[in-house]
Amino acid sequence: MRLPNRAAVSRREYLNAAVAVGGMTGLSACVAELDGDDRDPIPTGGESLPDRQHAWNETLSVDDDGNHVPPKHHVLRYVNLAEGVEPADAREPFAAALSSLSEAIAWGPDGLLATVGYSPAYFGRFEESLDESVDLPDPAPLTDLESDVALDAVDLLIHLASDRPDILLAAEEGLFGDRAELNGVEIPDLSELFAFPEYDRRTGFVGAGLPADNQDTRGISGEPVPEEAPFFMGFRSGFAESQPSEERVTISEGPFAGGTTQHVEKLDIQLNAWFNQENHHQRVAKMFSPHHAREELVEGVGENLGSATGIVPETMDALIAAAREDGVVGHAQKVAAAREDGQPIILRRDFNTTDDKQAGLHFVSLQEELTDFEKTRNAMTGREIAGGSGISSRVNNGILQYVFVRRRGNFLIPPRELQSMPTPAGTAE
Amino acid sequence: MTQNVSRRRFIRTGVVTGGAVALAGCAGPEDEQPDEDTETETAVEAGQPELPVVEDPPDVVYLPTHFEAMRHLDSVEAGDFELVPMVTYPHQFWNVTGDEVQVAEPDGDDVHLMVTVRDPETGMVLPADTGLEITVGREGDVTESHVPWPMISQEMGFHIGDNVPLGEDGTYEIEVSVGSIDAERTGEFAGRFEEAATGSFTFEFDQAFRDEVVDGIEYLDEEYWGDPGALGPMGHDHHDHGEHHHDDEHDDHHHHDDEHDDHHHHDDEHGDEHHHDEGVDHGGFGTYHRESETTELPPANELPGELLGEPQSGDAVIAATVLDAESRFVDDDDDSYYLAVSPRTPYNRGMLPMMTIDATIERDGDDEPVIETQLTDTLDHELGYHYALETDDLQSGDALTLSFPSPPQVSRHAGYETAFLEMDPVEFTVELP
Repeated sequence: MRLPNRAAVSRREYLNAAVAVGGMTGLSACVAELDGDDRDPIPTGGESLPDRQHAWNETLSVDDDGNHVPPKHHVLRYVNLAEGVEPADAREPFAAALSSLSEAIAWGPDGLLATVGYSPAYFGRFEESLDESVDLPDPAPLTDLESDVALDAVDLLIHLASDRPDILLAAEEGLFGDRAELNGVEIPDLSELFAFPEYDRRTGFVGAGLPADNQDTRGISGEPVPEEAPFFMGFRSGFAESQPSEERVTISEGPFAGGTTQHVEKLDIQLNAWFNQENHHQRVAKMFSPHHAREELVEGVGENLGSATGIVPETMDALIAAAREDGVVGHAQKVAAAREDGQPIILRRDFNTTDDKQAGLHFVSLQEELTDFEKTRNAMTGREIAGGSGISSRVNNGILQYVFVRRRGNFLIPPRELQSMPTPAGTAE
Repeated sequence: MTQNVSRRRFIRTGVVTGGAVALAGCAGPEDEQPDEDTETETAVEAGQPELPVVEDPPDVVYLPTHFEAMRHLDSVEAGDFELVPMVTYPHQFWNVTGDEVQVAEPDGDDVHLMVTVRDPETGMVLPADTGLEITVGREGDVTESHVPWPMISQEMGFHIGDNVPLGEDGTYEIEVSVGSIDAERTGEFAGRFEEAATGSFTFEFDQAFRDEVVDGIEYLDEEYWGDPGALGPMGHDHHDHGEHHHDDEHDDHHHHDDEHDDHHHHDDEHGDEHHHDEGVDHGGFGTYHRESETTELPPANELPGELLGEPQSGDAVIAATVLDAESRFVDDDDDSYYLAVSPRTPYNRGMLPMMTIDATIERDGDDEPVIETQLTDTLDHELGYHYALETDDLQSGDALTLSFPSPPQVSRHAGYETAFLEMDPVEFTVELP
């Protein structure tokens, strides 16, 4: 990946490309770009951090409608322990590095937010199995439409996020690059500990303006993505009412209480049909529901919806009956069927990507039990609905016609005290 | 792959219709050709041929302005399926979402890709609407994935297709994935088409290709545009360009229109307008009776069982037939019957998948309907694609009503986008075989 010609692209596109490139090249580009604007210093850390690694919400700003605003820039680092390195060897140095990082950079979107997660493959290194209070299966295909999905079996997944692309890349360089110091804090060298798989670094962005500025990519024809859209498909997402609390997705019992499970699905998106062959009514019907389309409930990107999509969860029978008459079923309409007590059971922290010059989505989902994700994903697949009506497995079936699952991975995000190389029993050594 | 490249595609200055303006059946006088003004109006907008469309078409199957032109590629075997690919200039088509119909105009697209999915053994076209995926890329280059639309066209019948942007000229590799056939399968199709399969083919995207498909466009005489009727089905042998799809052995229900001063139109339901074009490989056009070898479904009177009727709804013909215990459709049980409903396009007898059809059966003396249920879409080697109900509770004299909670959700090529949408219920009186 190479940086584009600065003169040829907008600032947002340039910064996004810099994040995608990463390393010292990307970092220098960000710094140079932002320095032109009197770049703010990196806010220092050192405050005490929440026990839950995934407790991001209290740091996030909230828009006029009460929805949390996710951090703009994201990096996913897939990491293996190096050959010959045991978890016990890496535990202290890694903990020291993470601690230095949090001392150097404030916790929050204007500084850095992060989670460190461990896969079933990591826990497979130990003799004993992962504590049974944790539901963390091996990743597997979840639908009939993903015969060649790649299953991520790396040891660790580190999710970094920030509104400041320069901070994001500096943190990454501190952990994995040559950078020995950040904001006056020494960051220990971890290069002996880790090895990087082929699929090691993914990046992305979310927020109004960013998708529109980054739509010159495969999967999008022309420039159909609206300026105000926070996501490629042109609609707001992450309404307060359609996200559960962090509490809901936190593991409540056992040695990993305070942690959560994480599923990361990589989707390629094909928007040619979505934007160029259909109209707003059809898109609303497929993203939300035919009712939303008929009643014209969604204007533009859906800012008028405030903090709630207005979807009322229905039973499977009701969904099938509606689909028979409507000839189409909506995405939000389907996934609402997986709610429990009216609340969704997965917390979405997804973000758009143009990795490999392909429009896509890194769908990061947090849930107490991994099977909560599978349940929600099955609802999205809408198999029974397709069987009981004229709708096919993809056509007129929510947004399934436009997304292609390429990768899946499952991770346990332990509570902070077990953040570095936990044992399956949930001890720190 | 950026889209700027496609601006130079399909740029044709002046004569959109290619060298010889072959208006169907018109060998004739100059005033039949499009005049200068028309040519200018239809001059190509950079990107794709700007083809005239029928303005304000009627709510029935109607004649579009021109015949399809395309490059046929060799068919490919993939699992249980035979995939027959075709590539052409970007097309206008219509997508149906519930009751909403939206035109898809080519916009930065380079080709319209089509694949007919067939049974290699019987040649029957299969209702492939599940697990569809097309992957496109230059040889050795990165690929892009699309989910094609199941669609219907007068000449091509049921197929899967999409407008797709490409990139530079070159050799393109296309992979087509088809899922298992969702419909129930009976007869010789039982147990078949259960596995998804993928086939691939290549095609050369260059100026020669673009010239070939655009030059192949043939217009109908303008006075037929928008008339009720359909372009005839292409049939299997489209590689033989010397072959004409005349209906020479046709019965007396049609007349040839070799001279064009004779333009009266009959309005009777089974119509008998037949126009055939000279020198080109098309199936004629009009309301004439098609030969069954070229249609996806048998004529109603050739369906097995007792034909209850063939009323029309939304300009589709809804044939319904009942088969009994003598037939292979029911288990050895004297009292069971099999109701097969076969909706078809009115002239070409093309299949209409992705519908919801409900059957209500009422009987004298019973206040409540005896049966009220959705029919199951099924594929049979004799009946073809149909919607079915098996029941032991059926009597001669019962009133059968078929209603259509949602019309065929398949996408439509020109001529089919105004029909098969508003579909009123139809009624039959049951007669047991």
